[in-house]
Amino acid sequence: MLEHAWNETGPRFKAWLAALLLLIGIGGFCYSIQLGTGLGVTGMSRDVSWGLYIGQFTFFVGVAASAVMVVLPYYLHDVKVFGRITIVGEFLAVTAVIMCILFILVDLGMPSRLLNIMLYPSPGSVLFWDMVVLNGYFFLNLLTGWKVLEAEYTGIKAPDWVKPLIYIAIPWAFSIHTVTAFIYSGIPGRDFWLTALTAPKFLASAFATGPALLILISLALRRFTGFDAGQEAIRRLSIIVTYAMSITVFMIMAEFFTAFYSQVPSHMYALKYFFVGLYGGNSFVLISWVFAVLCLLALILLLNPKTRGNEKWLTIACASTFIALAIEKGISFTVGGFITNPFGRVTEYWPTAIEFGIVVGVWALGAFLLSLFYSLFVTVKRRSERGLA
Amino acid sequence: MNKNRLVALGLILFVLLFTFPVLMNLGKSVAKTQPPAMLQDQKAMQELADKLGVKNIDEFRERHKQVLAEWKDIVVRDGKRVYVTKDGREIPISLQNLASQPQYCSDCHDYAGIEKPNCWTCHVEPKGGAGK
Amino acid sequence: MKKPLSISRRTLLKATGAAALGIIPAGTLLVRAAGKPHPKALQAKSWAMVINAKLCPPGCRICQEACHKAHNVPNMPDPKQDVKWIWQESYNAAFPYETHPYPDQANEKRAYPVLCNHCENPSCVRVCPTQATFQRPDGVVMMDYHRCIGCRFCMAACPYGARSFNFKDPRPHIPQLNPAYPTRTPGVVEKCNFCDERLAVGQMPFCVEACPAKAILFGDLSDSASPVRQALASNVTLQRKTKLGTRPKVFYIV
Repeated sequence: MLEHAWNETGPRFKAWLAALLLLIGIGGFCYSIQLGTGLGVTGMSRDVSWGLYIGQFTFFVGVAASAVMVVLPYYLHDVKVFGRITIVGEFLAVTAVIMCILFILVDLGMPSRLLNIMLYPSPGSVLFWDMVVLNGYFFLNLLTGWKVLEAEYTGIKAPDWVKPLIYIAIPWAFSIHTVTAFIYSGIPGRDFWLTALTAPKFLASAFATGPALLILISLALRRFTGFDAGQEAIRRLSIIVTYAMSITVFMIMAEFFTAFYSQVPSHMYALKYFFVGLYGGNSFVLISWVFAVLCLLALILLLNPKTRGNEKWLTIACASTFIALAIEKGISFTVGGFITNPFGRVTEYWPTAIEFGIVVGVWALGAFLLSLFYSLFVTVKRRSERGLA
Repeated sequence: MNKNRLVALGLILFVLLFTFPVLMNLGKSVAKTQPPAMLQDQKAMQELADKLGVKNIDEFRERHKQVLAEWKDIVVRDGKRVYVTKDGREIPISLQNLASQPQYCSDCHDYAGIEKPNCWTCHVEPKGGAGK
Repeated sequence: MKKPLSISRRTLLKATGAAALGIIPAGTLLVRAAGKPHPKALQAKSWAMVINAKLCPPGCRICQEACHKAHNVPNMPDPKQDVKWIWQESYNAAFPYETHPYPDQANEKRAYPVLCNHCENPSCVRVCPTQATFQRPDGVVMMDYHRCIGCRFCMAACPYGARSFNFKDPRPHIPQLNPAYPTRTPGVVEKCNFCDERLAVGQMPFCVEACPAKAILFGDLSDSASPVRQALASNVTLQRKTKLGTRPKVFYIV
């Protein structure tokens, strides 16, 4: 099955892969610098001890979880139009989980001791459970996506054990992002994170980000490979994005209300820091307003059926959703918890060039894997639809 | 024809990669063929074994890594500072004490060509004798 | 051809895989030799500290200097990536959101030594994925620098900012290396350990001993005759961030 994925691709695809390999190489080089000197080459500090790496990890767990938004309707509610793209979602989930694990790895101070998490299991630690659920989700999606694709390729029905695994993957998807949210929302002393709303907000924003990305991927697949997910599938996905984005924005508004109506300083500080700056620290103000504008743009375009149904506007809406939530969950949320520090002061954080280089390397690796997965997927689909074995 | 060339190239790369450690060390063995002086000194070897709490230098060779790991856990995780050997002897746990011999860890490790103990990245190497 | 084994290849592979997975919690199952405490080791059920900052001479940093010197705590050039085990903060910074903007004249200028509180209900211990930070039966919250993977979850979980991370190699920045105590490597989190190495041989923590004003008291919270309990019984004392439920064991006489 695999050989078709490579042999039937054109020079443009190979050039794309080569460009990604170059970025991966740059990321690898930056990481070797970090391994040699230590995490001091990043912008992290004693006060802001988690930054872009953990933010990106959080964001991509959301992307990974969002595959459930096509799998659940198809397998539980017989929404047949999603049938063509469940595998697209599952492969996206697999790639996103790999990126998550890589982001954690590059964030560790002693990556050579990674296996300690398994050698000395600590069931009281949320990070331990995060390792368990992420690995479980990875294998679930890899196995099921592969088997279903293989079934299409050979024309033979997938083995019986695939269905139960898919059913398990559905609540499991909810659990991975809930556990990730619990990393933040269960620790005292960081009032920006210490709210029950964190887990629901994570899920809502994931279910906006993922389907938005799936729409963008489907449109790209149609443009570059001729694989068509179908008008109806994209229409339904866009409705999911609309609802999820509306709920996400509502939750964000609710946070503003609690903070500013109660006037409790420790609740207001992170939000003030983002949108107007605090104690002279204002490096997040620009991207926070970019986030706000993009959210508004996305909502306006999504809520209006005319623009939601128009592919050009839908593309802009989905890109805005993705970028806005990538800002919010990909960096702002993580940094916000450290504003103010335990002594009431603000220490600013901004990623360094090396930090950014490593992140770009991981993104490129994800794009690389995803491209290979999708090339395989498209090739198999093409052959099965033409009736070839 | 193309494929055969690629396969040959791949094989050569594999062989180079696989034998990399051997190639890297080819020129190096000459300098370290001197065995450490301690190996001639029975008294010093027995002293070292006693400090670790093992019977003799042979048991030291066999078990020092495990005993040191036990020391680490007894001190850090149990909060105790005295090691009780299998035959009931009580040994004070101290890396400074153990490595204070005139010949210390790296002499034997370098001679045997095995990995340097990484204790000294944190614990402070005692100055003394043939050591650093 | 006769099959050498009576089980199928598939079963063998499955069994091998399962057995290999069984290695995973290997670290916790190792049985190791016992140790004994040093004959002079101090025992307690719950080590605690009472600090009377009113007695601190202005500008005095002796507790920090003694601790940092003895424990090879580096002096990092970038204050953002500072490493410190005990240091001084102002009244408003030591008790943020719990003090008003009009402290008395004395408190305005006073420096409060802050350090790890060795909480009875430590959130940092709860979150550690390897139990590299753990609570001892005598109440000391310990760090195992051999096991720490540097994930810094404990730093996020500590509400007191007591923990420091080794962003770079600390050794070049140690003013005077103390050979009797280890340093740390880049990539691990460190903090005050209530001088466990001193308690183990019957001595008081460095900061307690070094303080010229005897401002730091140390003792067993569960022993009503200990210096800490006596100080608590006869002085008005505060803890930092009491409402968080961590039950810190460092008390401040105010």
